[in-house]
Amino acid sequence: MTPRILEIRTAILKENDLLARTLRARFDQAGVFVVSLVSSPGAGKTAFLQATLKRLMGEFSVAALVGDLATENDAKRLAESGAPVRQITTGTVCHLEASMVSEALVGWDLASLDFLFIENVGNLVCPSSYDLGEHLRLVLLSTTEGEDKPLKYPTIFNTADIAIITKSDLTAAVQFDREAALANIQRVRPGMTTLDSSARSAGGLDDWLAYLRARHSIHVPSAQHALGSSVASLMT
Amino acid sequence: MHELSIAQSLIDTLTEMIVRQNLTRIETATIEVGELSGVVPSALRSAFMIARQGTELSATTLEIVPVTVEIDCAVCGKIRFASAASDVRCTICGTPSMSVIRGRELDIVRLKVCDDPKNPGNPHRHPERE
Repeated sequence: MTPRILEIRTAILKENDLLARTLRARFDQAGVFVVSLVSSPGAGKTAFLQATLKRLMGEFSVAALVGDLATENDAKRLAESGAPVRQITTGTVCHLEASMVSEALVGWDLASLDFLFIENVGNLVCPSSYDLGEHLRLVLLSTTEGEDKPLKYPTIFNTADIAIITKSDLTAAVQFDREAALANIQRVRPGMTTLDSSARSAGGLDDWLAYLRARHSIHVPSAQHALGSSVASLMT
Repeated sequence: MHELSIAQSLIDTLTEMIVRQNLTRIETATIEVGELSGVVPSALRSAFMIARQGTELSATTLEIVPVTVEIDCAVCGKIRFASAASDVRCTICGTPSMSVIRGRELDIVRLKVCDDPKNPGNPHRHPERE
């Protein structure tokens, strides 16, 4: 037996990467802007997304996928906005992967959408390794989590595009040191864009929505709004 | 935790290589794990030991090469090492940077494989896969 050496470079997560790239190409072709959300459990992803969906609904065609280990509770909450929502129940898997997103989209007409939101499983560790084909990845950090979080979980901040502070209305109550949190975010991800938000306050999502609209119009510049099609026509 | 998922993906990718490249056996698989990859080498090693049981990789040695973060420093004008994954700044001038050149790897980079000259075919080949 003659051993020989093969010099190669293949990503261990090649399969996920390839599928994510395929998804991204599909999304581009369909003209749908895809946003994913990551955070620790309880940071307020669902409340944030629910409020976002409600605000966008009148003007854009939106839909959402949400991942959890168990229950359909989040999907039900998000569906209260009136947007089409599907739950991905992962069982024991602690993160979403491109294959799960791909399967969950079967039967949806992506061309009829302006925005697709993907809420990841609440987890600041594992989702960072898995590209879902999204155009924009948000990492949410709530005022109740403390200022240290970015330093403790550098990779999730390093692989996200924008950090959003949630539950800003509780800043005083929990003595959240916003400046320290922002400085820590800059340490692990120099130049990262950060925004403040409060899903439960009037105007608390204004900055986020302005940013989202700007990103959307850059990505889909000649977009005709897909709204006008009813929810029923989302199904192919 | 998710190192087991990664180990499973590693087994799947290596198994695919055995089939595609007509290999008899992979003696050693060398992988690069970057500091910013989100994966801990020791945890991945433990997970690999579990995941490889009963597969074609059950006797394969895993060699892990950690990769330090290297950034393109705008101030120094050179590629430098960064201080730490949680503090991505140039070790020489201290300027933070997001131009990460190395450190995100989670790649298979080298295989030491065996071919049996007496039996050039791959005994692991599954006719239904071809």
